[in-house]
Amino acid sequence: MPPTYAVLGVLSNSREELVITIFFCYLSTRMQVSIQGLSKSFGRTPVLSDFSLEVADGEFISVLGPSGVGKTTLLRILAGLDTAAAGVVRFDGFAPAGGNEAVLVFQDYVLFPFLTVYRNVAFGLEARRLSKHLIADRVGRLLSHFGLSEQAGRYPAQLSGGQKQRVALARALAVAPKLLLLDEPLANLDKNLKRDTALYLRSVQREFGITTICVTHDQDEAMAISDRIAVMLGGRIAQVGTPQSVYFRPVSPGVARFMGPVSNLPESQITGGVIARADTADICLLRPEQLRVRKQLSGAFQVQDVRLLGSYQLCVVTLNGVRYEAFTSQPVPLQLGDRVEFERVIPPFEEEYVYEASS
Amino acid sequence: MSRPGVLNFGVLIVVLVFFTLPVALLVLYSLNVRYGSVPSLRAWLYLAGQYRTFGAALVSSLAYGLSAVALVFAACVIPAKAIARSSRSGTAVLEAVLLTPALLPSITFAIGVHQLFIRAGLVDTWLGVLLVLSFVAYPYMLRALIAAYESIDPAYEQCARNLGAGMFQTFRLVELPFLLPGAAAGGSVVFLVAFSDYFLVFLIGGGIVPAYTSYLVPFIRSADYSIASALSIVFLLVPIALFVAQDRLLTLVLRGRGMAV
Repeated sequence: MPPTYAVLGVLSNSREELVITIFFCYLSTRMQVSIQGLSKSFGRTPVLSDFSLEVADGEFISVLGPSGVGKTTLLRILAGLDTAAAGVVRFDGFAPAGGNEAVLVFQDYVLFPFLTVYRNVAFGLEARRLSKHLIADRVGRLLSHFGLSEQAGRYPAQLSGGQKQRVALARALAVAPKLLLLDEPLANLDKNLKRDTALYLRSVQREFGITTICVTHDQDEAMAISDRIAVMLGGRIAQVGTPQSVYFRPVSPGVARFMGPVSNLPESQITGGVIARADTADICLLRPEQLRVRKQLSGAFQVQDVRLLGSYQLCVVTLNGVRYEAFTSQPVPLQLGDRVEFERVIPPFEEEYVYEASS
Repeated sequence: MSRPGVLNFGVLIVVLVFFTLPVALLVLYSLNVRYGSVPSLRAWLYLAGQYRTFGAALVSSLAYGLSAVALVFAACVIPAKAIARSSRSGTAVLEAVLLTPALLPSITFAIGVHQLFIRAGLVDTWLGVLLVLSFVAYPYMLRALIAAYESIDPAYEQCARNLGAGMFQTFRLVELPFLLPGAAAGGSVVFLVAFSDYFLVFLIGGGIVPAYTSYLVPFIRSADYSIASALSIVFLLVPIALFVAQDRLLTLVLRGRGMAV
């Protein structure tokens, strides 16, 4: 039974309902997406160049990159709102049919301000001219699933940020798309709500079993919600992999730096392996989780500054007059002028990621 | 009261006097309150007695005025959207062309239209009057709707399209509510232009299509100020009543929907 059955349920009070329910369940089967060589430029500025990506059935993939690398343009092309200058998009091996196989949830939700929550969610169903009671049934189920039943009669201006997002999601899922496109889904939420919403989005995506492409510039957000992450740097994909592999096994120093704090330390002074080599010989990059600092009278480095940055500690050190920045996840009390040494630690789960990355 | 307060209050008084003085004079004239005359209700009683012709003229003017608003709105929606959404320089030329009726003296333009309408058989018809007034008033609605469309985020339309909505559903449910305040402002001007026009209605309607202005003008020309004043007061009350009704309606429709009214 496709997951959509479980959520929307099957009603067969009438022939029409049965036929339409079967139709929607057919539509809501998951979809494999293949993007090959997509290019687009605005005027003379290229925003996407030779972008390729394969997305599996029911997968949640995030395209992660800094602002202005063409992420939103990519979503707009997939949603049929924009055209590419070159390249091919295939949904299950076929060219997009022009129906709404792919529905986009906009960054600022774009709820229709003059329609109630109910009418917003019903919008796509009304466009399909479904019968009133069928729409009422489907919208009622979605509203109750998203905890919005009490807000059904309200207007978007009367909702909180989280509620608006749930309405936008319900509105998109009401038309049972094969592909869900999310544009910076957590960008408009405050920090505490972000984590909860990330987990919520993930559970909704699993329940509906819908192939999802999300674009974001936020590394934590991408890691929290995705099966895989496609890191986009300079208009191209630099690396595609699980959150663990792009974080712990970045293919280049650029990806390593983009995915989170890294220490660049001279390799000869560190015990243990490296996660990525910097351009300069003898410099290795290490995540805070992979590095430990220890006070040692015979240590090669001298502490210049120490800062606690939330979940990790920044330690500015010098060695032979050269300045290095080291991030460690275990804060150690240090004072200016202390001599220290660094040790590479292997987190207990790391071997698993090494396996995933190489496979 | 602070100094700016006094200034504001003063300006308000001047404006009030400026607007109410002519109306007050009209009321006095209509009641025959003049030096050497005996005040009377003669003018108002005369109009009450003439309610058939007077009413027919008023209803006809109201009908072509309101129809012009509807027609102009319908004819402006698509060009306004196209102009608002386009960034090409060519649209500036198009916009200028569409705005010319407001710039031409109506007499220049009326001669040409008159010839055209004679050939089309539209002279002396209600439809002819409606068309010519709609044409003259077109730019006022166009300008208002361009501004309204410019304020609508194109994402709404894209989102509606992505959800599978057709053009009509998108317009009715998504864009129309945004356009209403602009359409109301433009519609007010269109109505005033159509309702108060004398020359074009006379030329194209040929005196056959009843019009309030055609009814009013002979009284203004005659020496009977009382009846002309009474008619002018009615002439003034109609748009005011319509504006109040429109304002109430807009507030009712848009209240509580995140839109400042």
